[in-house]
Amino acid sequence: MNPALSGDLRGLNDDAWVVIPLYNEAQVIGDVVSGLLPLFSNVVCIDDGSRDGSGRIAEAAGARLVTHPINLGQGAALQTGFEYALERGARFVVTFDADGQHRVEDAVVMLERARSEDLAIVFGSRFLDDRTKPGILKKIVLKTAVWVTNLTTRTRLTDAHNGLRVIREDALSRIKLRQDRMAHGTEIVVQLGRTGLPYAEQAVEVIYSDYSKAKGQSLLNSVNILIDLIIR
Amino acid sequence: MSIFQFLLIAVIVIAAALAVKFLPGERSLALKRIFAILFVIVAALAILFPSALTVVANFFGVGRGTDLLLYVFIIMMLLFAVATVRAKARSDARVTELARAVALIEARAREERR
Repeated sequence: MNPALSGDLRGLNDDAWVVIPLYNEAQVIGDVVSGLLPLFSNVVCIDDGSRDGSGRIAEAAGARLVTHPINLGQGAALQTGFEYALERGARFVVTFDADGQHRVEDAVVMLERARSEDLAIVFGSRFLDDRTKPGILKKIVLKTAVWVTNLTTRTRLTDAHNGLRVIREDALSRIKLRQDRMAHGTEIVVQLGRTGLPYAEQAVEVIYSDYSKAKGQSLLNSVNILIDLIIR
Repeated sequence: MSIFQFLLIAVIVIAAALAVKFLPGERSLALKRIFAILFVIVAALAILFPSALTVVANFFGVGRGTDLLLYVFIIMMLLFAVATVRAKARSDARVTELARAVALIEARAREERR
């Protein structure tokens, strides 16, 4: 990308903060941060008590760093990131996973769409086009999760557990993630749905690398997601 | 009164006294203390007059006093477990708030130093 152009894009996105919950991703977090920085000037990693030096790597790569003194879970890390970004006058927050499964281009398109269509929330969905190739079992689990989510919330989504979202400041100030280590993917949808603010879904690609496959949510974790959805 | 009955009553009185002493909370404290005293009285009566417990058990359609005791014990254990889990969840939520506040303060301090 040519430097003048990327400078312009960074300037365009300086009212947005990219929030990355970070827990033991030392292998990939450096690349994820340096992939974001050409397009987003504000990137903050919430190091959730990593033991592998992920925080230092993220900071060295150019991200701001907030460190939880103890491990609190991904939902708690997101909430910390929201409060950090709001303190610094963010107009938009982009939530982005630390394991490199999201594409920066998708985040840019989603942010652009939130601005141009005056949306408070843009959810990423891997099921709106056929770029993403999840396994059949994963597909069944995710589809069941989103079906239950739609039953229990006011939203109509195709993919509830996608870490890539754009949330505007008015929606951010109305949510408070409480579930520390449970299905915050659901909780965030429930709370955002309750705000009644305009939302949309954007087709994104989830990159299932060997790394994210090895680390990814196990089937047992999907059982947790389903039970958290039903018993609230 | 046999020695064993005496021991049982002594243990219950001591346990209730300790529980009352260390119970937290201002609002419901008086109620909890009344419950503890009632519990000690009922327990002492049940220990001294086991046949009375069987009469109560028969009234509820349970064969023996010891069976009734077991059922009540199981129910109390379940309630205790639920109360403990809820208390832990509340305490976890407080720890989360505290840890988040520490993390944000630390980040602010670090950015000011730059």
